[in-house]
Amino acid sequence: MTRVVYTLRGIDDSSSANTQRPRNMELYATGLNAWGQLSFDGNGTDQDPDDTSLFTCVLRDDDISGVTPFQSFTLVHTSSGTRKTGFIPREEAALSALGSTAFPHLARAANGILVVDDTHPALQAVSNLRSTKLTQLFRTPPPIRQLVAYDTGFAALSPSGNVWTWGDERYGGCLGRDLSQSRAETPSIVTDLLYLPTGPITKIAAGGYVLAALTAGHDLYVWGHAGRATVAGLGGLELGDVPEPVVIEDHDIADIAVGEAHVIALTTTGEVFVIGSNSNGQLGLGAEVSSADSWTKVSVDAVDSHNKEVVAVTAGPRNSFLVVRNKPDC
Amino acid sequence: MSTAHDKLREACLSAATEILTECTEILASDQTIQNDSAQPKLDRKEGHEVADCGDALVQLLARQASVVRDIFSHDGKHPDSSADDKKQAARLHLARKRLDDLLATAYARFYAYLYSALPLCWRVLYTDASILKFSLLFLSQQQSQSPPLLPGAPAPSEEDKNQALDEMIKTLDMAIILAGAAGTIRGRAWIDAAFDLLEEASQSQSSSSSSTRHSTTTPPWESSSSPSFSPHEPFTPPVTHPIRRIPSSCLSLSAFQSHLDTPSGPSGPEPLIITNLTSTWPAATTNPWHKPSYLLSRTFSGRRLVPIEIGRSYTDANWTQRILPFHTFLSQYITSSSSSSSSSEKGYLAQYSLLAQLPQLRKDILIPDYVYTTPPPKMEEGEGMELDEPIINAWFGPAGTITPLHTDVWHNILVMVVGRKYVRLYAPGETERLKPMGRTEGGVEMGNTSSVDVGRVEGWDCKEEEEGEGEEKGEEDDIKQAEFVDCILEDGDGLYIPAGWWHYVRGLSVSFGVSFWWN
Repeated sequence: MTRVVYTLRGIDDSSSANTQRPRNMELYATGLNAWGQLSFDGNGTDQDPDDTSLFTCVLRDDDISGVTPFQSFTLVHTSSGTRKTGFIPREEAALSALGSTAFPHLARAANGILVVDDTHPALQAVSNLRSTKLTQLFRTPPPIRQLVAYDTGFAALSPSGNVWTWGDERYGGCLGRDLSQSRAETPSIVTDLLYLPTGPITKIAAGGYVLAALTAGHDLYVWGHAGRATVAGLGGLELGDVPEPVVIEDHDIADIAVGEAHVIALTTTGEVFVIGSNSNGQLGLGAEVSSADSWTKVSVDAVDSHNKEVVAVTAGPRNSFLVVRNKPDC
Repeated sequence: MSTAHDKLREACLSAATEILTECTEILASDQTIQNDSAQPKLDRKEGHEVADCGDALVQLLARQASVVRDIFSHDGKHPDSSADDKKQAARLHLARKRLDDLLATAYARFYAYLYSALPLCWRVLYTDASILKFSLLFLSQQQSQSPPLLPGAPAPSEEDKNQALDEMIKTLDMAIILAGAAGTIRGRAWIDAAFDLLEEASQSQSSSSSSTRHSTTTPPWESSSSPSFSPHEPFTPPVTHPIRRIPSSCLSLSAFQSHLDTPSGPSGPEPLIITNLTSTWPAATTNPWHKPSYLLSRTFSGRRLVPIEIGRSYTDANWTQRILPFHTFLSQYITSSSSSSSSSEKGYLAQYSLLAQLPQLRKDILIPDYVYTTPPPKMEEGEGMELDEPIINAWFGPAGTITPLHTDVWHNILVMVVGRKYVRLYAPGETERLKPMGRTEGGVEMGNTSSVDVGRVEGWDCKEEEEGEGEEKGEEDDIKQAEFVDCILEDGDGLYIPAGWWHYVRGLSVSFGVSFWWN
């Protein structure tokens, strides 16, 4: 009987460094690994890679940033350039070649709509992105600092901290604004995020039917479609249809990431909290946990006990990443 | 092992092999994805519909098909060692998780898109992943039934077997209910055949294991002692403007066509009741739909799942939908003593293509020839596509179900098979007085539904809460001036509802009807 062998295209395209000296940074990951998108070790022999349910170190390098998870592959910026792992579909090859710095300027929703920030130099070159009729070119108001997608729409952040949303009217809560004032499909400012006590928005995140925004003063706001989010396992967030502040044990929040049905928050003290579905181990709380209905602290022993600190969090649809750095010597 | 069992095994193996071949062809072809259209592309090869889901999901589906195929083709041979056995179990477990991942991914798209704009590939992906999951479950159950390999391993209990069977049924029924069992190569035909084989296999298994059962008993519904649904009517509204009734034997096809061609006014042809329409239907004679025992026998002992609307009316705030086993629907909402009281929660199998899901029931009805006539063209254009054949929907519920005042874009003959229903109709000319709803806050178009609650205006139902009384009164005056016709449909009656006519339908007793939409 013939056995069909699938090559996991695009596995670790960078030359592996042989030096043994300790690296300054590490990437930890947990969750969906169906296409090997959590394995950077160049070992693509496992035809059916399983998920992981605890944060595990998957990459060491002097410089790790721009972690960009896709459905079946992951891009990471390292000291040796962009590294890719997992399965890169043919239709995504052009996208993956852009490198992780392009991705704050391009986003695709689950309803097939792709939005491209046409003012970004790297994206003007990708002419084939414009060929499909579902591609929207987002030109107003440039420049964009960040562009993110949830399942049925988009949010964009300007350098001055304005947040625009647009998308499917049926899930109006995700737009976070008064739809009698401006149409759902038209990019419009989320006025509730203006003039907040702790300053303008510096980061946005989205996934599934949930959106989140972080202020300069480390406050977290979330909003979305409560019905769909609850079905998915995020009922614990108690979402409203306008941005509401979220309190996680009185912590200040340094970074935020939103997956298909889970949210990860990094506090300014370096602690990681998660909430939502653990269907594929994406919370890093172990395989026996099916979901977290309230904010739950994740402890990563290898980080806690070795003078390291988490500096950034990222979420794929059903997996999670922590960027870890050696603490500077005191 | 029974023949049905072997045939089902063969069907699972060939489905896995087909899926693997199709996916491998897709990944090797040079076609790129076309995920921006609900219409299948003309150049998409039959069986290649999932290509539009993208290479990653096609590849993941292929890997699971490969696992199922390998396990099926090696099955029967004893594993070389218990380590191999363990490895096999882990592989099976992971494949099941991946199939659930694929189902969840496809399912999320059903919500992300408007259903009318959903690319076909997502429905096909859901269906094929369901077929593979069913095959895995069937295989696991088959292995657990063979003599235990390890001495002392417990044989599965009756309860375990029932649970496994329920899960297999659920897997395929969800593919029908949620994804429409899509796909040209397998799709509905494969699933229908699998259900027949599964039922046959499980029956032969249970009859061989229980010696007390007689092999040639008459079906329970043929016994006069087997109960029928209760004809109890908690409330019967008065009929004040009766609709003309004519026996089907006196209404030839050409006579009905000339009724359609003879408008009585600007609203076109009038509603008409055609009586004695079901006298030749098995549903009304040899295969009695009015007996629970018969319906259970046609739904895999009531194990098949059906979508049920829960709540008084779809315009109420607490209205919801649930997917339940047929026997649960019967016992909770139809035959339980509390279901006849007006206050209890209503469960209604409404506007659902039940007969497509259950081909055995489809054989019990005959499509009335009247729906092959040519009705007058619609006044408004653009609404409702041209139908090649009538759309058949089932309406099965307890006393007191309410379909609020609404219009449909198609002509309709609503045929009562069991029980009685009150129907009131308003001509399209009364639309203004009936105050159609607009778009809801959630962007759902409700322009075909009236904001008038006929039951409350008439005082048949109590009002939920005190509302702004002055405003309410003005609206009630408007509706009370609107002209209507009404009737009580008895079993065997078919009501012709012209397209665009407003209709309010109220179940008086337990009732089971079938509607035929055509144009």
